[in-house]
Amino acid sequence: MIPSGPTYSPMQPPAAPPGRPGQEAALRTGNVEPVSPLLRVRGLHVRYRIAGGKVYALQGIDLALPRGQSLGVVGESGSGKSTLGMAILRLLPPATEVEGSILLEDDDLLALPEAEMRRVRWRRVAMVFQKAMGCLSPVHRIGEQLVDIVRAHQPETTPRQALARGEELLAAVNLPPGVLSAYPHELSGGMLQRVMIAFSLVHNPQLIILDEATTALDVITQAQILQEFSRLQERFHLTTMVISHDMAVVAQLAEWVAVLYAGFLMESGPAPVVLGAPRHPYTAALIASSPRLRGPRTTISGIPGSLPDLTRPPEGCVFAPRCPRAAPACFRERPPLTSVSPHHQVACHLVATPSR
Amino acid sequence: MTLPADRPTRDSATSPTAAPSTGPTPAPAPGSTTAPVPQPGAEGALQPLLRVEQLKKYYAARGAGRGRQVRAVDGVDLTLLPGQVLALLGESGCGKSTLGRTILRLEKPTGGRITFAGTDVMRLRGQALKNFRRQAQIVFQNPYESFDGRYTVGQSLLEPIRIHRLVPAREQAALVDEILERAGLRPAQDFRNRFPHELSGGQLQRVSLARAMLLQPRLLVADEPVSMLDVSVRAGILNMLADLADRGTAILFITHDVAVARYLARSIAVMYLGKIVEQGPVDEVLGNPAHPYTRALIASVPSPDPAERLTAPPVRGEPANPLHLPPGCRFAPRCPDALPICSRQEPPLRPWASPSAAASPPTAEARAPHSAAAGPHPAAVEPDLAAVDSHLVACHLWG
Amino acid sequence: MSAFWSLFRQSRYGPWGLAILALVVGTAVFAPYLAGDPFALGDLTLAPPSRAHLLGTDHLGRDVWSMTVYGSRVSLVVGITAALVSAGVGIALGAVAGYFGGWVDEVISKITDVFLMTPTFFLILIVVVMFGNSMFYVMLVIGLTIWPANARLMRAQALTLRERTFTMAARALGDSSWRILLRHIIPNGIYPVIANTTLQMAGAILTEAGLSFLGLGDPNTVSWGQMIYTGRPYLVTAPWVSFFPGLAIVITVMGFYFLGDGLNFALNPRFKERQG
Repeated sequence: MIPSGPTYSPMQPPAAPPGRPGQEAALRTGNVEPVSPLLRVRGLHVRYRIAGGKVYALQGIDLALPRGQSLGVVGESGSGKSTLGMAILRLLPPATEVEGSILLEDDDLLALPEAEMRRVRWRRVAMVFQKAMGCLSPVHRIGEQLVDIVRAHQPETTPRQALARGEELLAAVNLPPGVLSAYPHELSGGMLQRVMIAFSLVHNPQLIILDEATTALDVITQAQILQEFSRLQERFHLTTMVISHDMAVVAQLAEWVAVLYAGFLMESGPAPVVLGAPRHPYTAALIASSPRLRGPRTTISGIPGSLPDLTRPPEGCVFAPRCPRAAPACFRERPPLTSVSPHHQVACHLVATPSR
Repeated sequence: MTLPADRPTRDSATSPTAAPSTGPTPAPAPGSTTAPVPQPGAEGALQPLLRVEQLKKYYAARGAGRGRQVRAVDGVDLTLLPGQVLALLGESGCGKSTLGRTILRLEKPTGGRITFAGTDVMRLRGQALKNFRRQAQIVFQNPYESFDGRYTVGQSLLEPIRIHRLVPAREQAALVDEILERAGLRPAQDFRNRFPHELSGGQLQRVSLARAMLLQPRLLVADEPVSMLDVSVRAGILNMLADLADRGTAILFITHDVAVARYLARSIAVMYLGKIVEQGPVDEVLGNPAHPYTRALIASVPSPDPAERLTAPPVRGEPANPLHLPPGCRFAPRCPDALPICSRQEPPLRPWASPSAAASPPTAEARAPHSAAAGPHPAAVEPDLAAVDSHLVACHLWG
Repeated sequence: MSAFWSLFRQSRYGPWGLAILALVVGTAVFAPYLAGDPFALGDLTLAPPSRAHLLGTDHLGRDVWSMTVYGSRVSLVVGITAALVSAGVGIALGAVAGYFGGWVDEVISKITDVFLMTPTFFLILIVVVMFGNSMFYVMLVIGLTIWPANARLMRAQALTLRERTFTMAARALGDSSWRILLRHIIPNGIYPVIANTTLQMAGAILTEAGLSFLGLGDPNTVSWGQMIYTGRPYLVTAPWVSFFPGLAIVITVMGFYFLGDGLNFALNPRFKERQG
């Protein structure tokens, strides 16, 4: 790994671990060999407490993210995708009930005492949020905030060393060093998001989470940032989790895709499979809901009905009321996550029935 | 000058050919006939419904840019035929929302002219203005902001009915129920008594559309109607709009989403920093984009197919600051193919023949304003009607 | 409505204010059952509190307790009427100024500024001196001088509400400006004015007391301020004459302030949105 002692050396991309296929090839063929998972989520339940009940934000999520690869988490509003990111960083409101385990290498993040978790935040897991302006202090220059971040985990660093590191990071995201002396309001949305990405890289974290990081940007800037980030992923062998409501964004960055709906995991597997040949009716309906820019014009159908009440967990499959293929069993029993192929899992009764 | 007589209310048994009904159509009461409303240009049914000429809307800048002007809309020409769906495509800050609102006289234009069904919109007063409002409606981006949260859905829907006295008092509740059902919100009784914040975004946007549909408008400005909605819910609204269009309502569909524009619209106009840079039939413009900005936009849309990777969008830098517009073509600072003339002179919007059609650079005739492009015209027909379906570009690269 | 009540109950002082005011209003309403004739002259003058006269008597032998009890009526009527007049004028002018903008706003704002600049107490004095000191004039005049605060509040609300999308939607539907004002702007913008109005009620009571104390009150009525005035020469020898009405004023004003506090808390639009 990249040395990150008190004296910073220029970021060097480490030698690629043997046997890891290039990201391009993996995305094209769907032929991915998952190496040992860096992140493993097991049985994650998150329940927010509100006046008069609980909101069941996540219900029994199981995920694995191999080292050096990228997992896209796709979902609409109420799916729990943002909650997942927050849960990993343990940034949920104090009254929230959290069950299960989140293993970063061998450490269960949910079991760590707060003092140790503080050492994990940003040093081992970093996040890029949707709106940079909400994360940066408007009255401090970018450089000052960067020095803060560096010294949060490396207090012995001098400001000059920190700024030098800052310039390296800015170069990595295609920003000129002058940005360090700018105030946030002087920068455009795209530049700010690049700054956020740079900030996330400060301590060479093991895991970077992008939470709707490009949603607020215009489409051209988004395309630039997606490409730049894709190159960063390759250059530094980043392990990333890309949370987005936009499947296309996820398709650009991730080898793996997990689809969430109303707090439940519907489907997960290699991106070309989940996005190209989904087995879960929700995934398929979601894909069919977006009009295509290229290719033949088809009528889009959408999904009738609306999100269920998240304060009342259902007996059966949470998607059943809106599912075009729901069978009576779907309303009675919650479908377990079954493997359709070695790395492709689906939570659907229709898929689990051994008719193949 | 007043608008032509109001569109037939639900009681009339006849509806003129050029103005088909777009709302719930009742069984006509037997024996109740009103004279068919004379429609403008009924003999040549292609009289434009809406003509916007050199429309300008400038704001005084506040805050950091005080003293300067934001030229939100800077000389836009648009034509909309009855029943035509035109997508106005652009990113945030390009002025498309301002354009939509100004056309409906919700903002006061700084210059230019807006003509609706042959009448100058800015000259309307009193009852004539009210008639115009009935015929030109709008749906906003944020459904929760489009309603006064203190009133129920039913009460909000009663508003237009009351204002324009669409039906007598005792039939009003039934009309509300009917429009709710037509918008897919069943059972109507349930939705009628709920407050806006109790509905989901998709449901509330349907109510917003229903409210506009009650008036059976001839023109609907849809300002990013699905941008704030979940993907699975968008189709419902888009299909409702397509349905409206099929029944003859012209729609000005404002969006930043290229794919959605393609889905719904027959024609498209691309806007950048207050000006239209390219327009034409949607397949033509998206298939053969001439303007570098349009090309960049199309190339920037990511595909949900992981095998289709984005190639570098052929554009540099950031969206320009509307307070500090560059001289000449506004896109020039970012344009990969900029010529020296591009930073000196603003290119006019001109017809463009695709390279396959013309082997040589456009001739002098084609360079002249579009009125000459289609040959001699009879005096009665507006010259730029020919431009409605032609592909126009504002770019020095093409002559 | 229930949400409003639960918020109101949560506010620290609101329920106390309501309780106090309920007490005062109850006293005013049930005055005949609680006390004797306040105007009854007696032989026992300047008597200290005793069994016969709970709070003592004044220099004319009138029972201080009865006068205090009946005085609540006058104070409440003055306070409420003046505040309502102020609210009415303030809301109307503020809403019109804020919504229409332009020269309408400029004219109204200038008028508002003039009233704000004028020392209202002196204005009231002048009116009272010129037109007489009947309670009716007092109420009216107080109301007509304190409205600028409400106008300012309403105008600020109208300015923001004017830019809201649902206002634009109403215009697009063909709604007339007056309908928009009545249906949307005023109902949505009125909350700060309501809270301010309770404070103004308290202020009106104090103003009336002040006027009476200066001898400009209505001598034919029994009001707390009047009582303090009549008790002034005897502050050392018979303090109860002035003290108890003064205490009544303090309690009542406190009640209004607490109520206003609770209303502000419960009607704050931020909380309304949170419930949605």
